[in-house]
Amino acid sequence: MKKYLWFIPFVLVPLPFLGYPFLLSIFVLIGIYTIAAIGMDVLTTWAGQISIGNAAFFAVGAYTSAILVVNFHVPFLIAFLISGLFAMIIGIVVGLPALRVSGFYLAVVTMAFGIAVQQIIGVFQITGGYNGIRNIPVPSFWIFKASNPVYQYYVVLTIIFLIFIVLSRISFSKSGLALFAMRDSEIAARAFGVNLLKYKLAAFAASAALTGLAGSLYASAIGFISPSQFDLTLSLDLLAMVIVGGAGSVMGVMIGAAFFVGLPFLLSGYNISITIIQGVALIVILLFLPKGLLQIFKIRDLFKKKVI
Amino acid sequence: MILSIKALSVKFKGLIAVNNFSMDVEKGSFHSLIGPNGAGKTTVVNALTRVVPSTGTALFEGIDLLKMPAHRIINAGVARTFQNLELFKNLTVAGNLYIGAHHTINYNFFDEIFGTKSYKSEQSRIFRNVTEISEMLDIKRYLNMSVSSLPYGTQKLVEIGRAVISKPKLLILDEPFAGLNDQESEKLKEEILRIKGFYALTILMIEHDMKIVMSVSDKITVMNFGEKIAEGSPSEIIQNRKVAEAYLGDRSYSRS
Repeated sequence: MKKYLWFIPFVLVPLPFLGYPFLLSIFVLIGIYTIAAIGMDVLTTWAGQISIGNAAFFAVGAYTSAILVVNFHVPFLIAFLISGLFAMIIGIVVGLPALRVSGFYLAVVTMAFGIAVQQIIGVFQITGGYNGIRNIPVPSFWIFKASNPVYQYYVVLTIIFLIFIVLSRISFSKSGLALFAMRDSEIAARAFGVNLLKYKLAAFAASAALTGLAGSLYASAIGFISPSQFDLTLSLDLLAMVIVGGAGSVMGVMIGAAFFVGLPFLLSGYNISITIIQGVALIVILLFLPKGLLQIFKIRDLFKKKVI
Repeated sequence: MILSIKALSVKFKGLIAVNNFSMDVEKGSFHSLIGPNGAGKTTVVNALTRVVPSTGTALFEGIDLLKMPAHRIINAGVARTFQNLELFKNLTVAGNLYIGAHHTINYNFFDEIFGTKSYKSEQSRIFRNVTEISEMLDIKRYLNMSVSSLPYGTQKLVEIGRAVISKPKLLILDEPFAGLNDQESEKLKEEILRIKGFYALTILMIEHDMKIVMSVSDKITVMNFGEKIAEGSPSEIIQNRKVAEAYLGDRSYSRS
């Protein structure tokens, strides 16, 4: 039970802001990016595979969900699940080159994939071309209309909580340790029976599915999507969120997402360039807290926890 | 005979690293593979564990290892250590040992997520094994420490522990004594002999330290330039002229 306690502050966060729907919608956005960044974390920190094309999975999820809801009037929950599934299938296809190349080469391959997806989306009619899709309806859940950002916040937080449970369950068991072994030494992992093909594809599938689900939530939370939102910067931001917050920890990724998504809003009232602030903060963090902001709290990552 | 290698050859882009190499390992024996640097000893082991592609056959209890994918070798019962440690350096000692048992774990992803009965019993079985092995190798106090923070000699023990926990029939050790001082070597030698007796292992060891090789081996195979040049008991190898030449150089400075 103790390992879930850190969630309590996040449950309480919206309460003082109930009268400020704009602030709440930023919290929702932070939560959505957290899910996508966890997808990145699983791929990079857990499985040791580099991807700077994860924005494409985000786009695939967002567009799948938006098209299903707007053009085919599919209930959001079903569109949400289909977008995760579709992104997962694409993730497996993108994972295939990872079986042959690694490191910088894999980074370039995934980058090319990310750019290609962005261009393809811009070409088709059904995706609205470069103008994108507007007026994506807010999802209606079974009992309540989710138009209130407080509901959205708790829906997103519940999803993060479920992801956390799954990740912490597998962190010191067969599949989690197999991924981490693969990351640290492919040759030794293989010698001890870790099927690299299976685990690499599984890592890409899981990463793509999580990012796709986040994309689906994003589309309905923002209500408008266009190809320019899913560019290379988004992929790099997702990677930076993981590193700034604290790789290998859901809480760290949440902090990273808050840093990247929340900070611009916090500073938008002042006349300072956000890029400079963020750039300086990034350098300072990487210099003094190489394990991310989470280092302040001295939290061990999931793989170093005491088990015996 | 537990392992029978026939006509094993490994080529790297025209360079013949191992040429038509044959060797038999008796069940329960301590077999050493020696030779000067670059003789192809590690390449033989890498071929057996499918790290490098090769031709020939290597029958292990009647199954050809060279026809198996690399991640299935451990299922056949062959575990190895590495010349330059290949530990999972971001994991704890317990995590490293756990991976050693990876192929024995009998549950699937859904068992893990829902924490089913088979998941719980398997987890406690592996944790029990990890504790047992760590006690035997006297590394129990390091279990929850990061493996990269440990001294080199202890890391070697962890690597051996990781191989032993996989319940192998044949344990291949690639230069386990390299980089250790006399005291550490003596301790490691005792640990290896104890493990060998306790788990009834067959050991194939690559090693340069002749004192240790001579004292532990039942049989020694000598390689040079990718070929077998001699084979026999320690006393036979000491007297072998070709072996002395390979190590000390031919008196006439000509290689035949």
